[in-house]
Amino acid sequence: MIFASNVFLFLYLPLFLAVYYLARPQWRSLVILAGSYLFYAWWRPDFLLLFVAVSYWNYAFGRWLHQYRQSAPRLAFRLLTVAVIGNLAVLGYFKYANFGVEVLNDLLQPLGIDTFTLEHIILPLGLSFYIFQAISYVVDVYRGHAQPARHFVDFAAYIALFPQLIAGPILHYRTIDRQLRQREHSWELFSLGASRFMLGFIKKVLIADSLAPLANRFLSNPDPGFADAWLGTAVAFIQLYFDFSGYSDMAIGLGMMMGFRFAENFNQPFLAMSFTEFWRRWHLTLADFLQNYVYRPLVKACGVNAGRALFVTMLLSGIWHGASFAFFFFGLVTALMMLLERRFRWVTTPRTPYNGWRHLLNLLLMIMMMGFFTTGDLAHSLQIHQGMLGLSGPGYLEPYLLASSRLTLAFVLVAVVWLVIAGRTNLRFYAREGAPYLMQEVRGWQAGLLWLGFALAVSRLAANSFSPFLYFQF
Amino acid sequence: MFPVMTRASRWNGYLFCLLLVAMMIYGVPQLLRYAVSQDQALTLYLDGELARDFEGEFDQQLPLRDLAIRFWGNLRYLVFREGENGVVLGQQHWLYTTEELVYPSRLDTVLTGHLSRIGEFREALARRQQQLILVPVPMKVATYPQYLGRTLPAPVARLYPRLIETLNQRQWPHVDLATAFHQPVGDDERLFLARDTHWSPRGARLAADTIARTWPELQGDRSFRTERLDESRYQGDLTGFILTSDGLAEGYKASEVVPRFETHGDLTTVTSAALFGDQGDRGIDLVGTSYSKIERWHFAGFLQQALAREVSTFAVEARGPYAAMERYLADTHRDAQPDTVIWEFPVRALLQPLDQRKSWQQSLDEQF
Repeated sequence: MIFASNVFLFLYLPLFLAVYYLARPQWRSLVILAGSYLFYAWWRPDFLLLFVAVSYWNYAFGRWLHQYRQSAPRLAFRLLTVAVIGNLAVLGYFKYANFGVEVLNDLLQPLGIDTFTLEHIILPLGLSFYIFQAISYVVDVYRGHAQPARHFVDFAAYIALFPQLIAGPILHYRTIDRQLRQREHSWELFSLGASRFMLGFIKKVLIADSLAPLANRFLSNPDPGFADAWLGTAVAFIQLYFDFSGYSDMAIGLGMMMGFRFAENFNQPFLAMSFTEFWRRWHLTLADFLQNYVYRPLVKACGVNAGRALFVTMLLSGIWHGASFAFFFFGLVTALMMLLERRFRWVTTPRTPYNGWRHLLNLLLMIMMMGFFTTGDLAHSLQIHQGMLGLSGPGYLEPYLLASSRLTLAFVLVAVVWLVIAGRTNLRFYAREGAPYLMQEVRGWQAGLLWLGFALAVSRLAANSFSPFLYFQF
Repeated sequence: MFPVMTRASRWNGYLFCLLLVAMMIYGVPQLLRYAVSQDQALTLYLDGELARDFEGEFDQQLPLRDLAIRFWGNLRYLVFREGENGVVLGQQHWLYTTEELVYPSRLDTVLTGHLSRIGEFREALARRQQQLILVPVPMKVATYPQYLGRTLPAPVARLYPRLIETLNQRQWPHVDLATAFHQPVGDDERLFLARDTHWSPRGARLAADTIARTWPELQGDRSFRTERLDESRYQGDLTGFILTSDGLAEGYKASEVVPRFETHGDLTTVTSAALFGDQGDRGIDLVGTSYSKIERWHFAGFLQQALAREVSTFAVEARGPYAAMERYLADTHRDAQPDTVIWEFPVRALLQPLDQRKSWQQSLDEQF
């Protein structure tokens, strides 16, 4: 099921919240679990079995790890290794097996060795996200940063928590554990959650989905010229931001409606002046996961040089996004750029007279990177890059302008204005901490504006039906 | 610390709750009604089909849906003077499909790809001892640019002459319809409907006559007579892109009058050779798209009359010209193949790159 769908909004959400608030507090974790399983099974009930199996695997290892962590540390480490390998094996099979066979066949064919085929494996929704949460649980229990879940229901509710199940934000068990036992339920928090949900709904349905026809038109052109390659990728990038940050806002808002506080996932990524800064502003919970569970263990436990650890981490981040060479190159280029930035200290010198140029340059480089990201196909992304470099001619915007609706172009303008206002708000906030900002408190005319946007978004959804969130494919 | 919402008025929460209650009052009976009507609910549920089916029905029956569609349709028309994605509003209530206006950035490469694909089909037919005559159908936007209300992009305007020039150079048999289509005709003899993608019966007849004039050697000895029956009102396919409320943009939603035709063969002209088992005239095969498939345009009937030969139609709607030809070539069950195949080929198909990519949004939409 998708947050931005009529069934979710008109049926699932009101029913779930009614049952949730009518249930006794001690039953609420069970309500969350049942509701989340129903939410997940809506797409493919058969994959629920895998989901339950992964949950139980990690729950059981969590208890063993806690038992042997101090009395038999070597056994505990082996148990941890088995638990993590089990999780990665599931991820590897469902996410990378098709790609692996493809690559293997490409290697075998020139050698005259018979190639083989594998039945097409469907990637279960949210797998990359819930496997990461499961890994964070066993590692935290092993490290002693979290107590193991007392009941399977508590742990399963953490893994399955439907607001963040499909595409994050990726949660740490230690932060949710406390909230599963006791959390705040108040009108203030519910109202804030409802407002945040509405904001995310507007971003996704009204803006991201309105930009989709233009982005689709550009991205379906196999051989774009200079103008269409740049504009198309830029529009797709903006669409992706509104889509994913809209999803994250909705998830955070839904969490608040149920008394949870989730971590923030975005902090105006278009303001970044370097790749390093971009990853401090985009998909923050993934960056946090990679830092805690990949980068730091590599540096601290394995003694890997910080630069190499960064390289490996960013390469893995690229591959995590998808099983294709395009994502591999996305990770590779990101890693190289971040190493360069570290080498020349571009990140640690935040104030220079050239900040405007740095900002522009980084934005252009990020748009170029989106060629890999928004196609997921190396050949197609290279054609886009060829177009961006002017090797495929100047390109024409005329046909796109003729064929694009003016409504779509108006929404592109709305999106850009939104980004400029949000960007300025963000800069001012950090320059003068404590100063009030737009939509900080949703009341008065700001509440009116939010409700107007929400009403427009609901009507747009009713008119057009839903479209899935882009990050669901990861 | 992030500059995000930190507080909200309680009224937001109260209002949202009220909205949820209203939604529940609407949604739950829908769910119950659907659940009662299902016989094999468990089997369908396990396939994931039940959820998709319910969701589709729920979306369609949403009372807000019609209101919302009209609201956005009105907004688009009143503020932006446009219809839904896919249509261009012209002058005097003419509508055009955007497929005729969007051209790829490297049209040369795209055209080369199409020509080699056409060449492959030509060779496949030649191997079956069949001659291919390509009949490129001009674009409505190039035939009637005067109603577009803006300048026709040069690559679009030049597309047809470029194609004919290449076909001449390669000496591929073809029919140039554009010259005939650009002759002035009266308003009541329009070659395309104002609010439909396709040609009118007048355009279809002109195309058939032009084919017969260009290829006199195709003339047979059968006699066919086409009779005009009556007129009926027809809602053009492009009016489906104008989703405004009643009373708004009515001119763009108006139906058009289309005459109906019927073609009869005269059995007395069948040759004695055919009657006594000789193959005789094996007719002509017409392969094409909706221009040939939709009986309202009566293209096959006009072609039979113009060529005085039996015409068998192999047309596929809404899949482009290649799908029809692929299906035609795959059909190997016929005893005798005619010597000539006429391929009705809408020129706008040449603007679509053959290796068009699916965007990630389109791939995801298919998954759900």
